[in-house]
Amino acid sequence: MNSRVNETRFVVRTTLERRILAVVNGQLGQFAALNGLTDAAVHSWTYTLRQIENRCDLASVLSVLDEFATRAELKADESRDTFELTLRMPPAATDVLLDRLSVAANRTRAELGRLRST
Amino acid sequence: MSALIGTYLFGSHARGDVDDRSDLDVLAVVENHSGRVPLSDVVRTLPVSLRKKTPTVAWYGRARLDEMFRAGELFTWHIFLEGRRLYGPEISSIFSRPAIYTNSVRDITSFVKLMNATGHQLEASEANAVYECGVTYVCVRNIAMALSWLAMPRPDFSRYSPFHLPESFGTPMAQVDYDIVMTCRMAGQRGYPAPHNINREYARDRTDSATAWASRILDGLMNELAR
Repeated sequence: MNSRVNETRFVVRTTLERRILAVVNGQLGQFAALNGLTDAAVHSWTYTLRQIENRCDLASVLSVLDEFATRAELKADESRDTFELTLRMPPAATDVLLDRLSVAANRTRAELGRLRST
Repeated sequence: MSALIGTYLFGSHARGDVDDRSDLDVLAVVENHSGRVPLSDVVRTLPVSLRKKTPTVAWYGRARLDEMFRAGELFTWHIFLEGRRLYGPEISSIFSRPAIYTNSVRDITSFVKLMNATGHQLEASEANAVYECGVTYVCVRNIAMALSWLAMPRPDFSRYSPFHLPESFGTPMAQVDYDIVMTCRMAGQRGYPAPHNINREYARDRTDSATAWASRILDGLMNELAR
């Protein structure tokens, strides 16, 4: 069976990035917007959050983002793959990581709120 | 040099329209199933004048790229028409001429579908506005590339492709806004500072305008195909 699906890598990548950003920006966007999932974008977001509150522990959120980025190859800017057909990421793995991300982002939001009120 | 078959410059550096926003785009063709070679192997193939800049490398195994050439993927036309050999054999001696690109309707439809989902993302969080503007930029640019295949003597892969189409196509947004959504894309990809005041309304307006533009063109294409 041919497992190739009729979607470009850009479509698959954007769909996945949107799900991740919905979680992160839904919880933490009020402090700083995460604008993408490349190494450079995550680094820029981390820098902005640290400027706001440098006592907050971002390790758990960053760890899940890193796992996503590594498994789905989101780290690099690969805009030229816009038209290339690609394979789909396993949905089960995506759901598990999204759950972990949601828990981590929720905890970070609570901590940020607490630190900023003290 | 290890499993590296060849490296090829493409994009603005190959076309000669470089500006301060240009990536250094390099295609690296490697032996099948070898995976990526060390980046330093690719950098070594660059002209000395370009070695200070980190290249954005598109890695492809020979068989995969051959498959894409045979399928007539637009990316292979980009390489075939504009690629400049840095190391290894000429592209034309490894791969045959790409097949005719026939997937413009499929590709444009997929970009319209992506833009249609923007509203939902913006409702979920206003903090998604910069990312969504960036998605709109990529969609608009690539729709224009696909259209240029149909409407121009030679496909246009440049960053301003939407503004090079024949006048009858209209434009997806003002060029000043196109520059802003492009900057949003660079914020999301390269970590550059995002433009100021990008909010939900701005992102929605730009995407709605682009979606209406693309949908009108797509309808026209479908009508022509039906005739």
